[in-house]
Amino acid sequence: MVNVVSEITRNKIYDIIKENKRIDNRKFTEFRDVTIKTNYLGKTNGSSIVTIGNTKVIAGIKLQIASPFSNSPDEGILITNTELRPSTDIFGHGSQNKFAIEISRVIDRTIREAPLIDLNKLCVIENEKVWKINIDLHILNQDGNLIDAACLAAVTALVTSKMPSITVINNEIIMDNDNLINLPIDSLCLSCTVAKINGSLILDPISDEEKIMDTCLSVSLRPDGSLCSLQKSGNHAFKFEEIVMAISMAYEKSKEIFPIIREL
Amino acid sequence: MMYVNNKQMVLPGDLLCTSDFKSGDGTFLEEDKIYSEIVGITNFNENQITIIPFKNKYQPHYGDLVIGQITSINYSSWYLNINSTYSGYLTCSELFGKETQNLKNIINVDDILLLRVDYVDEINRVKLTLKYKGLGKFNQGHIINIKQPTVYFLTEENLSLTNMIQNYSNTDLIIGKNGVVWINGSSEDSENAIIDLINFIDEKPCTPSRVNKIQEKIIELTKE
Amino acid sequence: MNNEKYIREDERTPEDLRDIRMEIDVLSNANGSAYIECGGNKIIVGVYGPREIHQKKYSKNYGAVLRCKYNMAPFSVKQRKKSGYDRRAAEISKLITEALKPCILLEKYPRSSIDISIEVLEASGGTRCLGIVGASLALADAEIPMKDLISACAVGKIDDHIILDPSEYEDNNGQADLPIAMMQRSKNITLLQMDGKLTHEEFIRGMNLGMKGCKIINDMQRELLIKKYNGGIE
Repeated sequence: MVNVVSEITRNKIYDIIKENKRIDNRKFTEFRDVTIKTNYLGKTNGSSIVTIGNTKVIAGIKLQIASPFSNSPDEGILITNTELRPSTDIFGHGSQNKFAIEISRVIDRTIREAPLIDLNKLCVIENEKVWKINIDLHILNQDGNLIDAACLAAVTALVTSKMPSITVINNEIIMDNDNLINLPIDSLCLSCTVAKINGSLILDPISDEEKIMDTCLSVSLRPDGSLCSLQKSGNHAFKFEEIVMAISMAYEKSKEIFPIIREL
Repeated sequence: MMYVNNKQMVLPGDLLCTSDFKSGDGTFLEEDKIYSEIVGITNFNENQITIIPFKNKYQPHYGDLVIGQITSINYSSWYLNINSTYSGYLTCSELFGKETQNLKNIINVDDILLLRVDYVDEINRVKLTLKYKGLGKFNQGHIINIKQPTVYFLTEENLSLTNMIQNYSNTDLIIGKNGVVWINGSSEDSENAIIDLINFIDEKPCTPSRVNKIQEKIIELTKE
Repeated sequence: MNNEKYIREDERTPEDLRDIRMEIDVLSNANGSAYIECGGNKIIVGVYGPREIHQKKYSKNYGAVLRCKYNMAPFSVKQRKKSGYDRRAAEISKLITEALKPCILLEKYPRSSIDISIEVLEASGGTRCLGIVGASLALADAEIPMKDLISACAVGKIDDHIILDPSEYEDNNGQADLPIAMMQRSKNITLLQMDGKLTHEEFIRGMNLGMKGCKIINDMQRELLIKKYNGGIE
């Protein structure tokens, strides 16, 4: 990743952090405006478009019947894929790019470990047919904090998805498209990214801050505060005390966001 | 203030001394303390500390005498392999305007030259020069590689050994700072004997106790 | 919760590491190399560099370019893995590069590249941590300037007990997995991942256990390097 932020901006962000200020006048623990709009697309089982400031991510959920994996014959399948569209400049674009892969895998782990969906309830005919959930994330505009936005989009899309109810008669699957039910949701989860700049920890880094940050930690939590996933990324290191503080910052923030998801 | 002894083996990240010393090759400065950055042996001078590495990783500095081999020719400069990470370059202005007694007119790929390092810039481009007495192309002789600690041993601490080898066996010996040695003897046997000797010195790390053994070996080999 | 009396499936206590065997200078073509064997894992690491880059497109004037590639051989796991690129290896390669960058002094070698190749010949739980341990030894063997040696180990949770260095069985059937990499002198944590279910208190206990494990591995690395060069004396 080549840093093309000018020296002036970099020094400015670095310096005002020491005075407890950020370039867009937010507090260290303040998120930008978050908007969530679900059931946005018509041809999906579920969808959600999330914006955090100028970062815009769409999640589309499509379900299909498929054969289960051999080592889990009675569990549903969950596949996460992320595409960075060309408008996301410095990260490159496409889905084989290493940033896209990291986002997919972190969100997949978060959703799987929570567990957001009870995969055992997605079995249709044991050993033969299960539901397969395809989560496709499209990053439309990149302005910092992709993992949080993408995770929120995936979680809200899944929570508001509808699937046809199914009856199995004589080993034949009958799908009732008029009788739609929710996915079997177990425990909610969300992700909160903490960035470290010049020794201070901030939440929700904007793109300029992300380009000059030392390193960042994505913390995924359940509503009861237990951790479901952690991922450190970036070219520098954390001290142990900073990690502990980052997790508690994330936990405090999650208490504000979970009620919003529950209302959907 | 020193935290380790002289000639002690250290690992990356080991604390060496405070910043009263100047930090030389193989060390870095962090918050007024000097740490080692490679595996090697400490070497304290009056005011500087360097770490001598175990393998032949040579770092070019101004004024070093080096032996290099031409790898490629540009239309106005030659590129040389000087047994280091970076290649050196020789501009053609070095050749025109010098007496042609010590130099053949054409320098081709794979020729071996004796040069001095003229200038190393911030992005590690190494400029070499031929403008001193005695520098030029080798027409005969053998080239062998030795490790960095052996270079220190033979050129800085035990110059007498080098002189001894040259006198006893009537061969010419030039030791380049970059770990390359040129040997030119009166006969093939004497050259082979010296090559064996240098390989023997190079095999194990050099300590004062080895000096005696090496002197005995010189006498033994040159009796033939 | 009496951690001391719990005996694990392979008869270790919760705080025991598996036996590790380390070796350096095993590949003659590489500038530095290392081989690690630990509880069924066999990993070989090669460091190539610093090598001068001649194409302007890839080289940087302010420091070396660090490229790290993690790859699992098709025969390394029970069910043959398709050879070539896969997403897990891409993520782990990115994480290991980011774990090693803070400790290498890249500024000393502008216009050059340092390539690290981590090949897993046989996998049995904890390959990314052992890969980092091997990479640190291989970098020291190649005499690439570093601020410190890096050691890494993983912490797991099984049957509600926090354990150090999970084996393959504990990895697959456990409730959490927490790999950590740490620079010993400054206690900087350069790799941190977790998935599973851990409360805050379990996380802190796990981190402390992991940092202790990293110190033990670091001592082993230092002992190996000193022994290899005979302490510098004959």
